[in-house]
Amino acid sequence: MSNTQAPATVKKLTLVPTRLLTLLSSDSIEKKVARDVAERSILIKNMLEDCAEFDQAIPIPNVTSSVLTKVIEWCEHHKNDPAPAADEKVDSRKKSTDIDEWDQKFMQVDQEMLFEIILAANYLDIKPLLDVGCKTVANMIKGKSPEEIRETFNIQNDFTPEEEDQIRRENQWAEE
Amino acid sequence: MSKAKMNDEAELELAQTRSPISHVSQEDVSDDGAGPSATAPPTSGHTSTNPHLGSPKSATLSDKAPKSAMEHFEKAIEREGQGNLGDSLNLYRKAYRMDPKIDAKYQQKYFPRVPNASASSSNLLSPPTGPNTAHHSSNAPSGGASATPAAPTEPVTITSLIASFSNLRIQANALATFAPIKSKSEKQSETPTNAYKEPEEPARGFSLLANLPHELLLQILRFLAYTDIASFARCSLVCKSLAYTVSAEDSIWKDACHHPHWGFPSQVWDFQCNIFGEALPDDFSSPEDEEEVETDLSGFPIPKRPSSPLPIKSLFPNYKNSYKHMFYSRPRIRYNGLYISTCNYIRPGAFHSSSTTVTGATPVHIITYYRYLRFYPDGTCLSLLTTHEPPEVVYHLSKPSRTQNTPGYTSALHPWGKHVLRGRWRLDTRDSGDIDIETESASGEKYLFKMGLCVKSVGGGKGGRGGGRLNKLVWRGFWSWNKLTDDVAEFSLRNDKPFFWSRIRRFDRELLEEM
Repeated sequence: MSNTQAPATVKKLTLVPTRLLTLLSSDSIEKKVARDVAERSILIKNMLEDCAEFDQAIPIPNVTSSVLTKVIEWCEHHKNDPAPAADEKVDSRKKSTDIDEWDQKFMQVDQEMLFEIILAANYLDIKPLLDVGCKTVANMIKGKSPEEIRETFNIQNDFTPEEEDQIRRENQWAEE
Repeated sequence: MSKAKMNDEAELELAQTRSPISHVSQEDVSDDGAGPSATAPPTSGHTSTNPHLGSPKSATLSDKAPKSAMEHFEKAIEREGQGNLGDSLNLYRKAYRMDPKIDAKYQQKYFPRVPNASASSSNLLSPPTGPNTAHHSSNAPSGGASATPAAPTEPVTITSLIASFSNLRIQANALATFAPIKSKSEKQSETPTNAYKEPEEPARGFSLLANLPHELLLQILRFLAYTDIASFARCSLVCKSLAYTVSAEDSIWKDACHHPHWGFPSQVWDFQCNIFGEALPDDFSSPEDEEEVETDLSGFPIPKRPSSPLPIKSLFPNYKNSYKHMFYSRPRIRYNGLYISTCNYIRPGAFHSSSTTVTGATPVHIITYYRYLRFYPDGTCLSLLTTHEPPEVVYHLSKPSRTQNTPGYTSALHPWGKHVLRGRWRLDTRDSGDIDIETESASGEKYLFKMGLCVKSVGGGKGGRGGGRLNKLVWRGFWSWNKLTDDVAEFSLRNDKPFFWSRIRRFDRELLEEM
């Protein structure tokens, strides 16, 4: 898998003088990735700042290779995005759950992969990817009835009918 | 049970033919309450005696064909509460045909001079929901209802109920034991190439929301709340843990209170324009403005009101230190719907016979008209008085969008379009819920209409908290002001009813364009 992607990466990189890093997934698979791509992860970026030279593979203990591949794909596509300013949080929220087309397509994965991507983005500290993941889930909830949400996310209804009724009446406006 | 049936028949002499298999359900239970000897059957009697109501779903109000005048009337009210006014009107007509005094009887039944009855009346307005029959019945004002099994669960307050969910987690469905996450990731590592495009393999026992760490779940909910606050609130009905999270995460409700579309900044606290929607001059001392500052139209001087409310933050203590509570109960206008007042009045026909006749041909005219109000966050509003029914009106009652340069209203294409009155509105800055509306007059340029209304919540069942609906506008007064002579005439509101809010989904899109 990594072999098929590596040449393409290298080709692009000839334009920008950057070095390749090696990431080591939790299942011990190595991934070559350009430094500027890898630095979308604040975790890796900080790590690289601390150690000037990194000749060995960087272990990413919480992320499996399939998820890592996916995350790298995202970072590759977004490597030229402007770095989000610290106070941009509110602004990006205003844009609410709008997701650009490429990201939407990227997120068309099953729920377990979506779950893994969110966890990986959180662990690797890739805020924009984490946001895209969370927005994707939010959009899966939006507009659905409670029963549909339960079905979508395989959640058990643990209310008694009386409790459910009581809470429904309390939140009646939301069902209008 | 048979005793109850007898009561029914005695009470409902005027009813149409009853089927041999008597529908003993909540309406009948309630009917007993109005009867002289209130001996209601316990709720558990439903299913055992009535094979037609085998599934619990079929026992709700809406699935049953009404028989008696009272049933028709009750169903009419239910439909009206749901905004289904066409059905509602037909039912009202039938009810009145069976019993011209049905409204008085209804009044007697649900609003007798007895405490505790209000709970049941508000319950009627709550939408029927699948498994709730037991609950409904327990609230019916029948004398014997205290014996119903559901009754003891009532006293649990919603607050303590939700608090009791605090330590729970979101549970995946029971299949969870089959394929835990761990084995999933192991499997992925074995076949990395096709691990994440397998829609045909059901994710058994895996629940994305249940497995996420809480802080990530909160991020998701925060995004959700920001785009659709109702969807966020609806999550509380998914499971106990989410009910707790939705209720306890007050920072999200704080955002909701501040939200530009549905939060308090979207509300209009003082007149923003003249009644035609045109900007006010910088120093506005036009006669109508002076007039409204000094005296109410009824002649009372208006106490000076601040032109903007206190900041949301400083109101926080007024709402039990809860932004959720503020969002649910602080008066505000809901823009994604229409406020509709359905007014019926009855004019006796030519030969009005006494009401004891059983025939369905009592000659009365039922006159129905509707008042529609649509509010915009820019301070304008539209008011319409017409006999045209909601289905003809609701989707089309709107201002032209700003992008189009066409004069007039999109409503102008409709037969009622020329009766749409432009106006402006404002909400009281002191949270009384009072709304002042000023519109053009239907009777010429020299007049101005002023409506005084007040925002209320109805529904939400026992306790009368209204379920955060803010869905009712009650009348404070209605005046016509002659701008030339400064004369004020008050309209009689004898036949006028409160406005009820109805969601119009199409308005969501229009609002997005507006903002």
